[in-house]
Amino acid sequence: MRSNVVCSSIEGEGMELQCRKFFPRPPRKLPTGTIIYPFTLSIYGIATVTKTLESQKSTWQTTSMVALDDSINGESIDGYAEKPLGKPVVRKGTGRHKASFIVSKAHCFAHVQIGTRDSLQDSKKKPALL
Amino acid sequence: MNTTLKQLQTMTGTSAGSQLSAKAEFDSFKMLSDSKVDVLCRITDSQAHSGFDIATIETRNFYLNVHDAYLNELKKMESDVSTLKQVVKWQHNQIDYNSYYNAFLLEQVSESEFEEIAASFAYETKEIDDYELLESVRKVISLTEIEYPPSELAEFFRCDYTKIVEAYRSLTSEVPSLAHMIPASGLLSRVEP
Repeated sequence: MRSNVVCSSIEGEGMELQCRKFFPRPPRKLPTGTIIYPFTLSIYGIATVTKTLESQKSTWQTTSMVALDDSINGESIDGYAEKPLGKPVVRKGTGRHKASFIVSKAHCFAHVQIGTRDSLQDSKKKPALL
Repeated sequence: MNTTLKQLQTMTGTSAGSQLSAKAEFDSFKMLSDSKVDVLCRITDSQAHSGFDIATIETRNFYLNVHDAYLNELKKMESDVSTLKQVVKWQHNQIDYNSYYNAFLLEQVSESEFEEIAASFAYETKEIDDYELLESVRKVISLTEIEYPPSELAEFFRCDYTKIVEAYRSLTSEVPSLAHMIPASGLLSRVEP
C-alpha cells in the first residue's frame, strides 16, 4: 500500500529511503535509553518497508503501515533509524532525475511531513466547505 | 503660553550652553519629587504668533506613560534576542553534527566511533506547557520568518513532534501556510509504551 497523506507512516526492521535531498539530524535518546538517528528526506522522498517488524505491530505510531513493500512518499518525509544510516547510492530515481538511495538495516520509522506537490495543488482546488 | 525663549531661560536659570550630561539630566529626572509642582515642559515655535508655545505634562504621568512603555519594549527586545541566540546555537549544533556525519560517510571514522560521537549530541525530550510552547513557536516563526517543518521545531524545543503539530494547528489562522503540515485528526497517535 502506498500513501502520501500528511502523517501517514511506515515502520519496519529494514527500509529503503529515496530522495534528492537528505538531511541527517542530531540523535535523540528515548526514555528506554535507545539512541535513535532522525533524518529528513526532501525533494520527493519515498520510504519503503523492505523487512517487516517481527511482531507485525507498530511500536511508534498506532496508524503505521507495517506490511512488506508498504511505502509513503512526500515532499518532506521525517523519520528515524536505530542505527546511523550509511552512505547513499546515487542512481536514476524518478523521471529524468537521479536520487540518493539509502538502506536502513535497523528498526526504522518514517512519516510524511509535507505531502507531494500534486496533492498540495489538489487540496487547493477543493471547494471551500459551506 | 506665549513666552519668548529669553524669558524662559531667565525663569529657569538655564542657558543655551548648559553643560549637564545626558545621563545627569536623566538621573535628575528620575528623582520624582514630592513637590506640588513637578512638570516637564515642551517648548516649540509657535505657528500662530511670534514667540514660543510651552506645553507641560506632570513628570509622574510622563514616567507612567513613556518610561514604562519604553522599559516594556526593551524587555520584549531582550526576550527576542535571547530566542534568536537559541536558534543560532541550535543551528550551530546541527552543522557540527553534520560535519561528523560527513566524516562517517567518507569512512574517516568507523561506525562505532561515530556512534560514540553521536551519543554526545543525543538529547532527551522534555515536557513543556502547551500554552508556553504555542507562544514560543509563534515567536520563533515570527522572528525568523521561516516555516520550519514540525520535526525541526520539535528538535529545537526538545519536545514531542505531536506537540508542535498541535501548536501549528492553533496558529493556522495567523499563518495559513502552516496548514499543509497538519494531518487529519486521528492520524497522529502514538503507541503507548
